[in-house]
Amino acid sequence: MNPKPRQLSPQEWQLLSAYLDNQVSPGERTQIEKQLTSNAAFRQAVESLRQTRTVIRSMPMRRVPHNFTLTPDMVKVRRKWSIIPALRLSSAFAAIASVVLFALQLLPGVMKVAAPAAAPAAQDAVALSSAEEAVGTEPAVIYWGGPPAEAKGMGGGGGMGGGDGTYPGGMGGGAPDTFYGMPNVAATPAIQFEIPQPTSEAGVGAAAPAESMPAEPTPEAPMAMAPQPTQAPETTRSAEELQNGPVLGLRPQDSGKVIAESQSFTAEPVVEDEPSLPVRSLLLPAAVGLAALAVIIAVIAVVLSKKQRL
Amino acid sequence: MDEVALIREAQLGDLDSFNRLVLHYQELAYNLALRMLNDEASAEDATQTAFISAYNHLDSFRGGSFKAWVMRMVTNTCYDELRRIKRRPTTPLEPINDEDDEEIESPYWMADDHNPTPEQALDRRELEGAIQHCLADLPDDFRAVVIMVDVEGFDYQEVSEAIGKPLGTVKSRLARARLKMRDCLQGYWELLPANFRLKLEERA
Repeated sequence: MNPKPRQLSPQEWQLLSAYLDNQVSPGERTQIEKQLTSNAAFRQAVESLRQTRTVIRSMPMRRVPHNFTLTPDMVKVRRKWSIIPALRLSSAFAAIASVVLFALQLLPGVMKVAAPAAAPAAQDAVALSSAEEAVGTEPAVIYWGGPPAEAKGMGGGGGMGGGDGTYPGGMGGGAPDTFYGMPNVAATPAIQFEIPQPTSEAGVGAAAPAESMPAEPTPEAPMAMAPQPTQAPETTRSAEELQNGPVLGLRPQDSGKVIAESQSFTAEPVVEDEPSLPVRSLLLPAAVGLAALAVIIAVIAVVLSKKQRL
Repeated sequence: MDEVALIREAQLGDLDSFNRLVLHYQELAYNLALRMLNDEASAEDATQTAFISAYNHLDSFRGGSFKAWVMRMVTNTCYDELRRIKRRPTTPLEPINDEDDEEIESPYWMADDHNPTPEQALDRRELEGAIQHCLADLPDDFRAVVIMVDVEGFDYQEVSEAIGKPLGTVKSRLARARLKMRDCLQGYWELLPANFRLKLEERA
C-alpha cells in the first residue's frame, strides 16, 4: 500500500472516509473534490482508504452453522415476568395514596378551615334563597335608609321569620335599621318593607357585622361561599353611605342581573359543610387499608420474582 | 416478507413469526458475532443469546430499523462476552501506546499468536486470517463499526441505531478504524493474493 500522508488532520481523514461512502453533504463533496484536484496528499489518502475498504470488503460472509430459531423452551421465561412489574406498580401506587391520605389526616388546615368559613356564607345563601321564596315571583322594592347610627349594612341576611316588621312575612328580623331586606330584588314599587326602630332580636340574622350582607349588591355576592368572607370592606362603605341618609337602591337595569346571580345560590354551601366529618373519619381507615394493601402486593411481587429466579 | 406484520405478531407472542425474522437476519447476526469474537463457538452462543434476548425484549422495539435493533442485541451480547473474556485472570491486558492511547490489545488474539510475522499469519488463513487479525487489534467499538459498514454493508444510519451513537461518532470511528486497518494490512501487502494485488495496484 501507499505510504501514509501524515499531513491530513483527523477531521480530513473522517471527511475522506465518509466521502468514499457517499455520506457527505453536497458542499463537503465540492470541497473535497476541489482538494483532490489540487492536493496530491488528498489523492493519496483517499486512494489508500479505498484500497483498505476493498480489502476488508473481500472478507467472505460465512454461512450459519445451523438455524438460530427459537423453541418455546428457550423463551418460556418471557411471559412469567409480565405480572411482576404490574404488581410492583400497584404496590407503589397504593403506598403513595396511603401517604397522601395520612398527610391529609395530619394536616390541621385542610379540612377544618373550610367549615367555619363556609358557615356564614351558607347562612347568607339560605337567607337569600328563602327570601326569594317568601317574596315569590313578584320582585320586591327595596328602600334604603333609616337611622344612620344603627346601620350595619344589610345585616339581615339571616333575618327570616322574625315577624317583627310590618311585613307579615317576617322579613324584618335582620339588622337594626330601617332598611330592609332584599337589595337584589328592586323592581316593583308595589311592596314596601318598613322596619321599626327597635331591633328585632327574634330574627335569626340579628347577626354580627361579619355575617352581614353587603350594603350594595355586587357581583361578589356569590363569592360568599368562598372560605374567607370578604364582606368587611363592603360593610364599611355601606355604613358611610347610610350616614348620609337613604342612598341605596338598585338601578333598574342592574336589578335583573343581581337577581340572576342571587338565584344561582342554592343549597350548595350546606352540602360543603356537612360531609367534612364523615370524610375525616374515613381518612385514617382508608390510609391504613391502602398501606396494608401496598405491603401485601409488594410481598407477593417479591415472592413471585424469587420463585422465577429459581 | 411483511416485516412489520411479523414483528407485530411476534410482539403478541407468536414465536413462529419471530422465527421467520430470525431466519432472515441470522446470517448477518452470526457474521457480526464471528468477526467481533473471532471464535465460531462463541459466535454461535452469542447469536443464539442475542435472538433470545431480542424476543424477550420485543416490547421495547418502537419502530425504525428492525435489522439495526437486532444487530444492537448482537453487538451488546458480543460486548458482554468480550468483557467476560477480558476478566479472565490468565489473560494479559496491556494498553497500546498508540496515538489515541485508548485501545486495549485483544487478549484473544494475543493468546492465539503474539507478534506473528505476516507469513505465519497468512499461513493459517491467508487473506481472511490477515483481515481478521487486523480486526481483532481494533478496539471493540471501532471493530463493530467497521464490520457492519465494510463487511456487512450497513449504511451509517443503521450503524448509528445499532450502536446507539450519533452519526458523527459512526463517521469518526469508521475513519479511525480504516486507518488502523490500513496500517495493519500493510504488513500483509506482499502476501495478498496476486489477483487482488494487481487490482489494488491498478487503482494506485
